Amino acid sequence: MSRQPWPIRAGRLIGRLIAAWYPRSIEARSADVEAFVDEAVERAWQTRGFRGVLVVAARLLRDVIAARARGLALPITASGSSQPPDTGNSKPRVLVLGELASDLRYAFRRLAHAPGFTAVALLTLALGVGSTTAMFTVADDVLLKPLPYGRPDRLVAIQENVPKFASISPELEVAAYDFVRWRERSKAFDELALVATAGGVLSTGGDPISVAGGLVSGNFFGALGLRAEVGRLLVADDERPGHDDVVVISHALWVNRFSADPGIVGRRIVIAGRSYGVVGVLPAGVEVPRQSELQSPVFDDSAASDFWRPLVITPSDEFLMTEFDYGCLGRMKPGVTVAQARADLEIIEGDIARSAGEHEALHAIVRPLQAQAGSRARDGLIVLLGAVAAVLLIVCVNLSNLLLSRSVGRRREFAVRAALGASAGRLARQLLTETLLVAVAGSSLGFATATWAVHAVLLTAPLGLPHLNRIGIDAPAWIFASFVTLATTVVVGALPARRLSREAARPALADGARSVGDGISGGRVSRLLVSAEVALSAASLVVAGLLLSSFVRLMRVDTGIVADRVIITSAGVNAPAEGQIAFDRRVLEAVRALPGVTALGLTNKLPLSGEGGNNGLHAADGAMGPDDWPTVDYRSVSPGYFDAIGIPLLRGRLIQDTDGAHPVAVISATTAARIWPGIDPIGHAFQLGGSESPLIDVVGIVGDVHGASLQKAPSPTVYLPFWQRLRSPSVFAVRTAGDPAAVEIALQKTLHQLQPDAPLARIRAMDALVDASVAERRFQLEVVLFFAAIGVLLAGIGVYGVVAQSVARRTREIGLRMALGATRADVWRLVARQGLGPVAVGLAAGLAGAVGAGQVVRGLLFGVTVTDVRTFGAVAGALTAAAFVACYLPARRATRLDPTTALRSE
Amino acid sequence: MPPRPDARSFLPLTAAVFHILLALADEDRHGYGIAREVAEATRGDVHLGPGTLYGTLVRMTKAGLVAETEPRPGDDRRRYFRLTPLGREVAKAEAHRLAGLVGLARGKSLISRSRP
Repeated sequence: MSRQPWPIRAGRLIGRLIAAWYPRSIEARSADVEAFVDEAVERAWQTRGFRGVLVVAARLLRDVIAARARGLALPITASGSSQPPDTGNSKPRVLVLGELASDLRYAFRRLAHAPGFTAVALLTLALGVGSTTAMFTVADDVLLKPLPYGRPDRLVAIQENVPKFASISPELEVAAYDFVRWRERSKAFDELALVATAGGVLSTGGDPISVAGGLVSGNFFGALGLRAEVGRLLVADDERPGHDDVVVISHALWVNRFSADPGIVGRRIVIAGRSYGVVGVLPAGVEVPRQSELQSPVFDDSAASDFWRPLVITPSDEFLMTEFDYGCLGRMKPGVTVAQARADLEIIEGDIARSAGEHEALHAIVRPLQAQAGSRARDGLIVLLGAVAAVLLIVCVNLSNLLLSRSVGRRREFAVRAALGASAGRLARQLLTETLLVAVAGSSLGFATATWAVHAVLLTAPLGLPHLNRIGIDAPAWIFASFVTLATTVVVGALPARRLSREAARPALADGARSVGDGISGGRVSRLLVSAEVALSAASLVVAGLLLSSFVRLMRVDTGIVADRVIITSAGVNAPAEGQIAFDRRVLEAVRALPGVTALGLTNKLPLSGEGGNNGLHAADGAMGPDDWPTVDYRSVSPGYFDAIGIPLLRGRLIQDTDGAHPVAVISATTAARIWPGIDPIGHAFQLGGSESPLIDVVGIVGDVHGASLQKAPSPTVYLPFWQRLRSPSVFAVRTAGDPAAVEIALQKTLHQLQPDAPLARIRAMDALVDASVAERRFQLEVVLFFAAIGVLLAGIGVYGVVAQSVARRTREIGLRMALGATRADVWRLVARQGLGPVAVGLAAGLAGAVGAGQVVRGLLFGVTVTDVRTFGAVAGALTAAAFVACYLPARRATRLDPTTALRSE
Repeated sequence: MPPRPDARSFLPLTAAVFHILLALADEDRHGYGIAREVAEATRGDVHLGPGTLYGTLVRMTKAGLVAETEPRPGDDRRRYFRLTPLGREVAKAEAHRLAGLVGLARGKSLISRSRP
């Protein structure tokens, strides 16, 4: 007979499984029912394809349920009153339900009698279903669920691209100049709004505290479709100069700081030394996009925003082809696509570029807000999902194995029951009831696990997940995971059910007579499952291994600084530049005098904490033409900064206080090599920004530093004296001689004396900053390692199960061999061959698959290739070792057997 | 052998029973064959699942409306059913009963004479 297509075979199997639940009197005609199911499935496939098969299965299920519910009291006569010609042996409804109840009771008893099997099966399921549901929940929420704004599909995040800056940053934020032109001319948008970050000390309503906030265009809240809880949100009119001293505050600030004062509207509050009138409060739980969420993936652990002020763009804020400083949010007109919106902006961008010069180019990048907000977390989440999917598969495979090996042990029990009169269908139903019971209980445990895991992920995950407060357990995800496991267990449960019930049907209590070479097909399935399990474990282990080596390599990256025994803090006053500079000088002076301070410096941006200010560098005598002038990362520093943070001076000298007003700069080695290749840049001069800006002399070259992050190669960096080019905030780095804790208190006290109105300074260790910069990666690594470890453990259990089962089956044979003179080594070889064969097959498949899986995580790797030989070797070694242990235990038991006992076994 | 019961004592029939009788009226069929004939005759409106079909067939066999035929050579998996003389009478009686009802409905202009 030619093989039928798989949907027919699968459909027949499922159909027969369903039919096993028919009440007893139908079941007596099981051959008829089988023939019925087979033909129905085949014909459905021929006429209506896959859908037809599904329809047949659904109808069958309905029919079974109906038959169970009414028993077989199928009347011939439609009217209930007339005497039915035949009463038959109709079974009362109670009895039918009673049969089901007795199935369940028996299943409970059986499971309670096998606590080992039950515990492993339940744990396996809880782990698999729970972790899958949890990860699906997080991923679904971050990547797929609509944002909580009106018509979120029309919201986009806009960035810009300048080809000549692309080598440093292919995606720039938006320049105010361009934004103003878009607003005037764009036809594709209902609203366009800018977002910038603000912050400062709030000194109204209690002790001064630091608050974070946003500067947003007046139409920002309107674009998002938000309404105020109290008062009003910002409107376009608030952008007019002179009318912009208004502020909207967060619900949290309103409650915590102002005790939810209903009269808050109209009250004036002081932030960063300036007074603003509160116009409204944002509703509770509403998060609005922050500047960092509108730009390319960057890690942002800053506090949630507490206030929003109008962002006023004046002509003095507009610079042509520079100062790409703002996040930009757009609401497209109804019916406009992202591509159309981009095309609309591109026309304006082209005009701007032409007005800037012949060789200039400028592009707009438009992305759905949803994608942009989730993009930071996407790579990490995909890796986690992959790991979880692998574990779910392993769980299914393992469960199948457990069920298979358990069924072998119950052959005698079933034979007894068959001999006592149980029909084949009844036995099959019993087995399936047990399987389903385990699956349902395990899935419920999985739900509990998922709830716990989601909270654990939310509390600990430094994934930069947006909108965390919206996440709740995802019912569809749980249903999906439960369905996968349920389906697996039912299909797998069907294999032994079928086999056992068939065997039981021909009564055979003399189990021993068939013990040699029996169960071959069951053994083959088990071995296949073990291969699959090992393959999945190998693939996930390889991915974990690649991430691990990436992490190790990343931690070995020379940061360019010496971070130990350095503490950092920030301080500042609300004053014009001169006041700020004077204050900074006073802090430097006072802190330098503290005992235990060996070096001290200030900067506006520490290493590893993101991009500094970007600006075009123009060097008239450099090697580059005007079109290639690069963007550099410029940071303002004090002379002591380099010593404090441990950046080495390579040539020339550092910035000195004596430089006064004469523009000088220290440049990084990369800057020197890029702009003045092959020549000594000291003594050369450059301009930063436009051609009207002053010439700056290069006085020294310092070592490269990973300014933005460890992954990102050091960008060309220029250090300027803070009194010549002040950029806030002022961050102070203090290198201490001994334990930094000793200096911390003195430092805090000093700062408090200098700014008594400010909140107590927050002091952190520079080490912690370095750590935080790899936190996300460390988390991904830990999760993947965790799942890989579970995978290996489950695979080990699987191998053990199969080997132990086959050894148990062959006890008599092994005893015979040993009685005939086989040594322990011989027996060990016999057992190992049985166990390690499928492992080898699985390992080969898994390592091959890992090459593919590696492609998925390529973006997360650092310093390792996808086909890293050492990782692959280590994984192969680890899995083989685990398999050896799994084989060794049963083998030892076999060789310790007394041959005479073994021969008498069974 | 007990006397044959009056065919009219079975009336009215349930839909499933009448459909099975109709399906067997022109030829002997096996289980799925009956279900298929019913589905085709009703243009897919009525689907008899094994539970309904065999449950009903068991009762109909006991009542003497249908009987199992000898297995056909080379087809021992399927079992064929045929109409007994009583079954045919019951089917006729039900058809007459229904025809009478339809005539009544027609007299009240509830359905038209020609099929749409």
